[in-house]
Amino acid sequence: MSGDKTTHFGYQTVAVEEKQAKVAEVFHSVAAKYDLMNDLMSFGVHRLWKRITIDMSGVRPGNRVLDLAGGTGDLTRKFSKIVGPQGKVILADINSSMLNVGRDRLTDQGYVGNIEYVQANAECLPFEDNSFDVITIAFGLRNVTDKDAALRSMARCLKPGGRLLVLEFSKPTNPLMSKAYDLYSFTALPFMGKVVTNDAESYKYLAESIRMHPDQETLKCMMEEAGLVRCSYHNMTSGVVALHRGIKP
Amino acid sequence: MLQYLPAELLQAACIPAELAINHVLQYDPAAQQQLRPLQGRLLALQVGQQALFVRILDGSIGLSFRNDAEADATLSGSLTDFLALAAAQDKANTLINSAIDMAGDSEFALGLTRIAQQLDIDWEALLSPLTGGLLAHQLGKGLRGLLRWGQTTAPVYRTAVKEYLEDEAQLVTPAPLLAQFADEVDQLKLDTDRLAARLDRLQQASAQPKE
Repeated sequence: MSGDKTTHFGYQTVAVEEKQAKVAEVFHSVAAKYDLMNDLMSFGVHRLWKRITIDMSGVRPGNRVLDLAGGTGDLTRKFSKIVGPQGKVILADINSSMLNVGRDRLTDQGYVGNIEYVQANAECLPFEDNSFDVITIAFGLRNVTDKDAALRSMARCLKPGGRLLVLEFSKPTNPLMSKAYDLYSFTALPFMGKVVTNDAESYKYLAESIRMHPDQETLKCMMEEAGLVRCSYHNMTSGVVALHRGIKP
Repeated sequence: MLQYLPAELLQAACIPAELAINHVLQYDPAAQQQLRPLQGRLLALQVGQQALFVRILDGSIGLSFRNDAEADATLSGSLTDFLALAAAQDKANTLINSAIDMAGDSEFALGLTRIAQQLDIDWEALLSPLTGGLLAHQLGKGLRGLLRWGQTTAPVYRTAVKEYLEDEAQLVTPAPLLAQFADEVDQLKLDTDRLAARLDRLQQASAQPKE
């Protein structure tokens, strides 16, 4: 493998072309019980993090919104209600299993008409330049192989003045919280994964991938390098999760 | 003070109220129908430094203490003003005549107060999952009757209590007497001011050397 480009998959080092397939494997495995696991792992707080993201997105009726790595459609559901019939929400995910779960669920709940579903890679989005008012990626960026390329691609698709919001696990700001969080994520999460989805490895990857994800300041710099301005972040739950925002000039 | 609390806590605090309002809306199809054209619009209620945002969704509402979208209408006032508005019989009229400032799309704000005013809950539909259809019908009938009775008897009781406090127990001064007393005090103040001015003038005149 010498000379080949490598990247991380949790704490493992893998060839760049392997990561996408490995991440896909994880999400194919957890798709069916993804929401249940999220509720268990975060004690339901992930719903509050997502609500705050929507409130801070500045989305308005008639807007075009891209919910990237939208998976089971939590954000899309609320965006669809806000943008109304004149607006459009695109739920995009690289993983077909996650997208299928999201599409079936939203359709069953009656959310149709202003939602489209697209299987897309965040690194090379299949959308025109300047085509979205808001792009969100919630708990998805850390799974992307080339994060810089993904951020550039998102910036390209935003309209001038449009907002990118990245909701992602980050680095806890409180040392005590950090210790408790480490203990929780490396012992309780794989155990819950084993019990609920019979897949401890996927949740071990989740904990590892969170530790390998850039911290708040690094991600902010990456967004600025991707061409976004007025980048800022908002820590939630003592920095366990951070919401980064940037605007396309 | 609320701005110092974690965003998650503030967001969580909104959920019970939001659920309660949406639960009530669920049983008033007319209100849902009226809300539908307003889908996606945002009302900000500014009480002092703190704002509460009301987002109109598809026949329901969403509440939050923070929203980065520009509100379609903003109502600013004190908590007392908003409580008075909530308790008022004619909300739209009270809003126009109150100390609450309205900015943005006033038609939208007034429209929402009208919907709140006309909220007519289908009590039977609300109760039937718990009690069954027959009992829900009886309870619904009872509740409707109770509300109607409350609406008609409340003014009568208000008048009776007022008369008892003013005339029987004489614990409170009747409003006309109080107004008359205030007028008399004002008149007395005017008279004393005028007298003081006249005395000043006389004093100045006597102090001037005679030619």
